[in-house]
Amino acid sequence: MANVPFLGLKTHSQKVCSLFKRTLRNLEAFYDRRNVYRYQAVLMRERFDKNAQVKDMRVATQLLKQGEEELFLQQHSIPRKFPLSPGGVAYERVVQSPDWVLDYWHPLEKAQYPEYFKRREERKKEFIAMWEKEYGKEEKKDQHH
Amino acid sequence: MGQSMGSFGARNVDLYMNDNPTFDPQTGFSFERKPREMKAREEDLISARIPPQFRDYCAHYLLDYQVCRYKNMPMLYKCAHEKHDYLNCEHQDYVLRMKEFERERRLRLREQRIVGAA
Amino acid sequence: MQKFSICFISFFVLFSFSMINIFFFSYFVMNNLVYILEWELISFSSMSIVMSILLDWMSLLFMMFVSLISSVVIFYSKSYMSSELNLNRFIILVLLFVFSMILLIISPNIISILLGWDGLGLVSYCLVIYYQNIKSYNAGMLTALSNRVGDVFILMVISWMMNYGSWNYFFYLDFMVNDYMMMMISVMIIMAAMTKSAQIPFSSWLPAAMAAPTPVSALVHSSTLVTAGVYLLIRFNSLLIDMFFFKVLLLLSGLTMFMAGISANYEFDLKKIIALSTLSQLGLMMSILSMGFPDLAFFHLLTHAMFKALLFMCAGVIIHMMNDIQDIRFMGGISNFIPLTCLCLNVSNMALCGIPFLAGFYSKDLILEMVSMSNLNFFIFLLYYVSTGLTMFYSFRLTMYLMINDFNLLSVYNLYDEDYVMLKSMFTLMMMSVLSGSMLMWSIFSYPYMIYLPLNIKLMVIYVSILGAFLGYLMSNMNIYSMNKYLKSYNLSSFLCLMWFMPNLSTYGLNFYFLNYGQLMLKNIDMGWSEFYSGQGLVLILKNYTVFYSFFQMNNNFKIYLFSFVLWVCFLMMFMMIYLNSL
Repeated sequence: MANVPFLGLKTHSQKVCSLFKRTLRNLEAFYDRRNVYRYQAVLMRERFDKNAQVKDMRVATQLLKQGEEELFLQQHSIPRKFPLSPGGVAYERVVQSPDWVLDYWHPLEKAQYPEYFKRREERKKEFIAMWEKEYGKEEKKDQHH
Repeated sequence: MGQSMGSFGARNVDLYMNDNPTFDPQTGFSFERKPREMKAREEDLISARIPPQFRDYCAHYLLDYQVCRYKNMPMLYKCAHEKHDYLNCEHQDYVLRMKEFERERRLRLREQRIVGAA
Repeated sequence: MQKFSICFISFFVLFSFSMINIFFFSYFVMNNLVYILEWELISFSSMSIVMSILLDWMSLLFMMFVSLISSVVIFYSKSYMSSELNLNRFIILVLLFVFSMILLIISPNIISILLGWDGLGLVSYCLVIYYQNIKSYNAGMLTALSNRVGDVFILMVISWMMNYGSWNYFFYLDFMVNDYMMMMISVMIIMAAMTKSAQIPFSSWLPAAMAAPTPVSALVHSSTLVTAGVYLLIRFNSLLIDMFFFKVLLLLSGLTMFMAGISANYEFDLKKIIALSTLSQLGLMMSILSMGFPDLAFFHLLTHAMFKALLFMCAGVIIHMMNDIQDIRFMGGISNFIPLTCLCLNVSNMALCGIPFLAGFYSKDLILEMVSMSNLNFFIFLLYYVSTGLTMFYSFRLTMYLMINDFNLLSVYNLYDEDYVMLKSMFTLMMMSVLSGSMLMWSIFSYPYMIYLPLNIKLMVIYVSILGAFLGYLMSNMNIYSMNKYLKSYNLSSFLCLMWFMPNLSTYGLNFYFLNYGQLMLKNIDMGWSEFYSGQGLVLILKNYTVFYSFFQMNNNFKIYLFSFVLWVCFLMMFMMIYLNSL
């Protein structure tokens, strides 16, 4: 992503590229065979290339808006998503437990893996030391309001 | 679908699928028509526990088929001959009922023509 | 110890149970026996609670099929779900499901049907949400709530049936046909069966429930859960025949059959296509049932269970091989790599379409012929035959996309199907899918049906099948120079693709305004004014008044002293006045 002060700000060329990529994905949903898709993708690229040299920003944003409108009206109801991507079938199927769950283990269970938990305590200390070096020590303020 | 298309032409004489014949069975026939009789005995049908809707004029073939099935279990495909006999008898019965329906329709049309001419 | 895993033990037990049931079934169907076994649980004074089991040829046969399919599916899931950490939990859930289904099959009274029915609904919810992502949660919620509506209807049937003194519906069916109460009961039973078997108002849960793992879909959504409603109506069929509502069911299930057939043509997710195919066949079962042929519906139920479970298992092999890709647009030409699985897929597709002498032919062809022989109007006739053609259409389209078209995968995978566990289970079902049609046709129909049709009506099945196959070929052909067929009619295809927008209507349309209104009520009344008038408000009032009144209470020494002083002075004054008065 571009280095912007706030997230969500995009340049015009970024928006055009995003529109182009989404159009290609939409074409992929309609034209399944790879060779047919490739032909249609080349045609689409030609449509984009016709307006690539427009220097007037007002016309350019108008064209972009029309393009977005046309894509929305022609989008496929069942887009062709990869399984592990967000919106696909297998997204987030296996639950990854967060790391702090390990701290809640019973001491008897923890005693089955003594070296790992020793190293874990060392790591926690190192992490706190790193944080305090970066951001300073925590002030003693009132713990209750 | 089959029945309603078949009896479609009979609507104008007010004849529907489940109606009974109203004319005398003998009119128009040169030979004598006998009423149909059941070939299977009542107590045979009761003891074989055949459901009431199957105790029609073909029930004797049905009894033979059931006996064959019981004897040949589990190789039931050996009863194909008895099943074919039963289905043939049912087919003849169906064709006979179709003919009775058609006769009723034509007699009613004739009745209408006679009444119309008079 | 690997041999004695829970998968293998449960496979063995269920398989032997189904083999035992074959023998019992053949004995029971020959002698036309019905056994009802009763166990008395509690009995005091004149009330007794008995648990009864109905052993009929129908229940034994159905139990045989259910246990055979579930044993094969459990064996299959040993290899399919091998990367799962908690496989024991999964197998236990599947076994719970199978036991609920068996309880539903063997019960002659409506209370144990409720136990089985609710068990099926709840366990299928647990199975659908097995993979914990947002899609599965939504799908599980949709499944559970749709099934819950059916549960409510069965509960109402229980309460209406208390008028008859016993919940054993099995004895009442032939005698109480014209009773008004029985009419209410039968309407409710039909509605309950419609929710479970996903007919038109309640059909949105079946494609969504494909978020479950594939063995679950093979067992649950092809043969057992969705046929529970059909089985219930088969049991009640002698009661329901002359009712008007049954004709409504005929229309709705015919429309279900048609809609599912059309939606499967526009669908690209492999499991959803098979789910919509199941929905279409369920519509067929329900509609032939509502015309008064319960044994034909039962026959189709059994054969359909066989080849549909096989189809789901083949789809599972394909999905497993491609690392969870379920979209058929990513697949093509897989028959070069996995010929044995393609064999099973072809056999089950052909059985589904009703190719002669496979399993589906006996049931489907007989159903269509009986439809042609009976007295109904043209629209229903058209729905039946067009849906048969549509079945051929989407099956052929699926075959085209998966096998005949060129290789379309993302990279050159090394696809192989040497997984003998999955293959063994699929071959069992394939043998059964080929043989069970004719086996059942000879065993079940003790009183054969006579069919007498003109030649063209008899061949109409072949005409619509060929037409459907041809359309399937045309629509999946994709050329460089022509625009996509679905893009040309964009509005129509998005209408038909999303199941006529019925899932949106029955979820978003029904719930949105009520939920919004409920939130309004919650924020304004429950947490607003009623807190002001009863909960928090009273607390504030009581607190303020207590603070105020405690000013007047005797809670410190000074007040006690002063008050006792005042009291003493009053007493003195009183005594003095009495004394002075008496003078």
